[in-house]
Amino acid sequence: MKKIKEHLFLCLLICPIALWLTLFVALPMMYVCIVSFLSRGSYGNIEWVFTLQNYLSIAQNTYLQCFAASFLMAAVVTIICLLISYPFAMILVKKSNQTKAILLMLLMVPFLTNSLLRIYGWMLILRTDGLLNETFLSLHIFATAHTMLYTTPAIFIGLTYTLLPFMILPLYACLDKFDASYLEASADLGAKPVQTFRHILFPMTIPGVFAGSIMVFIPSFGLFFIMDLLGGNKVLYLGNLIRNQFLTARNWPFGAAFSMLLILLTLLLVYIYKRNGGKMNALAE
Amino acid sequence: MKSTMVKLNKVNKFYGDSHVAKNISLDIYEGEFLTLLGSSGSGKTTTLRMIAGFERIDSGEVFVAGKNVSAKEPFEREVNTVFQNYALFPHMTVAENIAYGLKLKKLPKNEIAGKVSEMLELVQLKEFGPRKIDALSGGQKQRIAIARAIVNNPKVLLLDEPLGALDLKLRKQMQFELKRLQKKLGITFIYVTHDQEEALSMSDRIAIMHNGELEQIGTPAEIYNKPVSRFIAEFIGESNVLSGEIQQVNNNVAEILTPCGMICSYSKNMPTSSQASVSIRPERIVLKKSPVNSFSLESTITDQIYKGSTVRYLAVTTHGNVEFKADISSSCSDFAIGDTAYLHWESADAFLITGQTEATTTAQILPLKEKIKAETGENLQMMEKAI
Repeated sequence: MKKIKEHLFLCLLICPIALWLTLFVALPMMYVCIVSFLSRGSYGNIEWVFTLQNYLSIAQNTYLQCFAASFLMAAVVTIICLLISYPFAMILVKKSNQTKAILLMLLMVPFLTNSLLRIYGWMLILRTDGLLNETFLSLHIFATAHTMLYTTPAIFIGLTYTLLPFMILPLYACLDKFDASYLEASADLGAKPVQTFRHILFPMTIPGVFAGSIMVFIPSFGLFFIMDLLGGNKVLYLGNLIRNQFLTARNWPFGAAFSMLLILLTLLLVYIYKRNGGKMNALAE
Repeated sequence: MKSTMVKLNKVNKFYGDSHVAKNISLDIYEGEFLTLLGSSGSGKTTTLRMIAGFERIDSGEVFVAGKNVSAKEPFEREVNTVFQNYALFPHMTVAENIAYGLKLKKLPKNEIAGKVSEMLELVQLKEFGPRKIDALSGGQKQRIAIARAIVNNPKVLLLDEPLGALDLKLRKQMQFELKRLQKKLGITFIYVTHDQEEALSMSDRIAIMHNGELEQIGTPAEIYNKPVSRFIAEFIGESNVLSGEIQQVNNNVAEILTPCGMICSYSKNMPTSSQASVSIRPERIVLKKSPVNSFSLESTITDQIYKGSTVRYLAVTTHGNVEFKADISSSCSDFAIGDTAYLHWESADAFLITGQTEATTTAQILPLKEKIKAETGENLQMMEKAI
């Protein structure tokens, strides 16, 4: 009797979340999955005719190039984020609790602001008559103003800026739990700091690195507004392509197929992560 | 004359405002098994970590094998450490863990493999090379941690409470094995523990630390039989401590007037009419049915505890109302609770110690009590009994 009561209580607690997830995540996802196997009608509507054509079309050269460009960009952004975040997280964990709290807050507060607004901020900084150019001109570092907005580096800046917390937080969580006696043991056995990092610290914090990487890599594909606003939409990336298929070309089934591709990629990465002993809660942290 | 392997010269260490190592000078000889013994917070682990190089010293010097290593990093020192939590690298196999130090030294692969299997054999875990660290039991981890350290052929092996996490039976077994290893390899061992029994049974010499100070250093027998302070008398084994004034000294035997009466103790270079505390081990006390000529304290037996080979009697003196602990061989224990007994001991079995005297009682003893209470609950009980 007591057990049923306990279960009932748990069910009641879980119900709203389960309902929410079903309605707003699982069902739409299933819909996207179904749509990806349907045909496009003449007026951009969905015709309930089964086809594999959407998936076969992805194999076209243009789309593969788009996918490759997106993949490369996401990879570079992930590496940049990792290179910034790892030292940052290492410094962070050595600080006193008070300093930690302040630094983490400084990291999180911009994160709470709408990312679109923050990207507009970057536009103001990067514009030809923007803050950065003006500063460099007045300091006589630049002779003439440089075009910075609507370039590929601007996209990297925007993506790195937006996604950095997703890399820092898992790394921080991972490094914070790291037992310093491993580092001492390594030094004790004759390892110089660089060797200790290479053989002990980095290999042992791979779960954090991987968790952070997934959380930067995957969104890098999808943040199409950054490509639009900072990149000027000169190169077609996967996120923009999907957006275009849904909104401009009104080819929902084709867009859905691309979305499925992205979901499969995510699942594949998570699978690799899990198989290498990664814990899912590291992702949540 | 044995050569000095590790030398600490007036070493000081502060953590913020707290002075955790106070002017420690210590010579540790080659091939010696030295134990740093103390309760938690006594500075013993800090001292060990300063030798390893994990803690920077604030003043003084540390020498290892004749070289001043005070400013050297841990990886530059010819010492290896066995950590309390073992700190075995979980992403490596047992063999990789042991090989770690050798790989860093860039030894040829076959030589590394040879040494690793030699070490595994030494710690009796021959087949364990390819295993993961997670798959080991506590005792096995312990052996691997030792193997990983000694494979590098260190001048000194530092052990930080290495047996703390093991159960009693395993601990006894590992104590024996550690001692065997140390004898076989001839490496200087510096061993940190809070377990006085462990220290007494394993060490060549014991250095007792208390509140960041080196209180006494000597062989286990010296420490046990001639404790220099009240703290040590009560920390190592059990002790009855009495305070009083020295009346006269003849042939190294002092007569001391205490609240319970006149007693005798071994004494050296102590002036008469000075205050002194006397320590007598419970097993040195003899219970007599009638007074003894030289001296004896009349008392009443208040409790008896059967301990197997001995019986522990608690006796309260008629004068002064001081409780004594006395361990009597169970074959000749014929006292019952309520009986009158005369406490006696050979004057050579009692020693003068430094520390708080009873003449100054509460005002000075209370802060000391608090201090010890913070460190070990047991000591307090013993102390209360002694007072």
